Amino acid sequence: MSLNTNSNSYITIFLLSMVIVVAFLLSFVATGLQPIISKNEEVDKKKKILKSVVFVEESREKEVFTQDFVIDEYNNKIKELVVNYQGDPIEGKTAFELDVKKEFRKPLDERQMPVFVYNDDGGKKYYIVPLIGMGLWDEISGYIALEDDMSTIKGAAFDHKGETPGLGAEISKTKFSERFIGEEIFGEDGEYQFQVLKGTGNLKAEQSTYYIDGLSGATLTIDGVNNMMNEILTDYTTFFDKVKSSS
Amino acid sequence: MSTETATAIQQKSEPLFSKKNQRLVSDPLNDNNPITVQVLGICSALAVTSQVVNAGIMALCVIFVTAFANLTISMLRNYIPNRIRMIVQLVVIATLVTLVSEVLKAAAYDVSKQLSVFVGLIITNCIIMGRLEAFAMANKPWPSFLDGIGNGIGYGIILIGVAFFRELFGAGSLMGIDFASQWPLFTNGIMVLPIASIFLIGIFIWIQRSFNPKLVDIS
Repeated sequence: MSLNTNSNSYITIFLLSMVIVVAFLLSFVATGLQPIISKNEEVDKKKKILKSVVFVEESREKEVFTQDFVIDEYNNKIKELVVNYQGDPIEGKTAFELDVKKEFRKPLDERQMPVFVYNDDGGKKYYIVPLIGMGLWDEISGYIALEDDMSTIKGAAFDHKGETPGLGAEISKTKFSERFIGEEIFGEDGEYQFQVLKGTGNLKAEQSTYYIDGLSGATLTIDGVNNMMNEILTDYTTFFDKVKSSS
Repeated sequence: MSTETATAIQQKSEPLFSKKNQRLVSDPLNDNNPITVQVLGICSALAVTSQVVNAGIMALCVIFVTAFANLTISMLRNYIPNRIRMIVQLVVIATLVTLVSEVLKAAAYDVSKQLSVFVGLIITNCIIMGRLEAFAMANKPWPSFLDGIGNGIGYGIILIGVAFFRELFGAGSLMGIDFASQWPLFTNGIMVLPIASIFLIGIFIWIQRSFNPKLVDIS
């Protein structure tokens, strides 16, 4: 072959055509898959919200939380609500579409805070609040469902972006989130009291309803969970008080 | 161990699965294993081996990327300017990895969330670039494709092997099914940490060397 592959003009042309081909290929695939991916993301978000309030064993999770079940259950039983920091509803906003991360960065008085109200078959109401914070490596998030005394935890579900599999990533497992069930967030004085402790086998966790066991090898992620819950649930207290006094 | 340079194929019509081509796949499984013999790709072997399922899917992704990166580079090998060959190799790898991660997100959203950053990190896996440099740049597409598959599998079996022991003794479960987590022996904290894999890989290398005379350095 007489082609001089080392000349500058050849290299430039080669690189340019390579970049064009690759850019075309990737954008083609990305736009083609976009509808499926955003549908997946939507169902996944609804599933996470439901997981905090409907407790299912991890082994049965796949068969229970099918796509149809998630969409059905969500549309029928969950009412969305957006409130400001004083607990008053804001009209014309959908809680599902709010960017929670952005909202919690805003100053308190500009904030729009989503609440998801789950009405179960027995007519009981559970209030689900989104959580977002920092783990060890990246963002962690979750949903926590409270009973109508606004302190007892009905359930919780966590998620993470980049925690280490087997360590910090374990917060997304039912094994961890089931420990939250029945515990209490606020002490008798109304102050935030709940805490996930370091490691497992803590005596304090067994004796008190304000403490639960953490995860060995994931202390920094657990610190993130504690900070996130403390900050966000404290911001919701005015709303919680209003619900309590109205019920 | 320079078997790969010697296998450059000259004959015009060779059966697709000739002895030589079979060796391209079987060699990396034992005699020339990318992890235990060449000691490449250790970084992800430490990171994604805490659970068997994750390790398995990671292995599949890597097999796909090594095979098709090898194939693409081998087809382009006569047209790639020597001065920018590494850039070209990286672009090919990065494109394939992005494809894998997009397809995972569309087809298996839960798995892609579990593997999170590690799918993207396949780009930095030294095995892939190593094979492109050592093999695909000098061989025809079909043998390169087989070489990619072989090396991907060689990487995958070690990954799954390490994950087997780490999940069994670290979490007391296998493939996510919990069966022994009530016994302290099976919830060993160190097996959960990445440190365990370096010991395990070390033990794998030791066992392999004591059974495979070809690997013992006589000089």
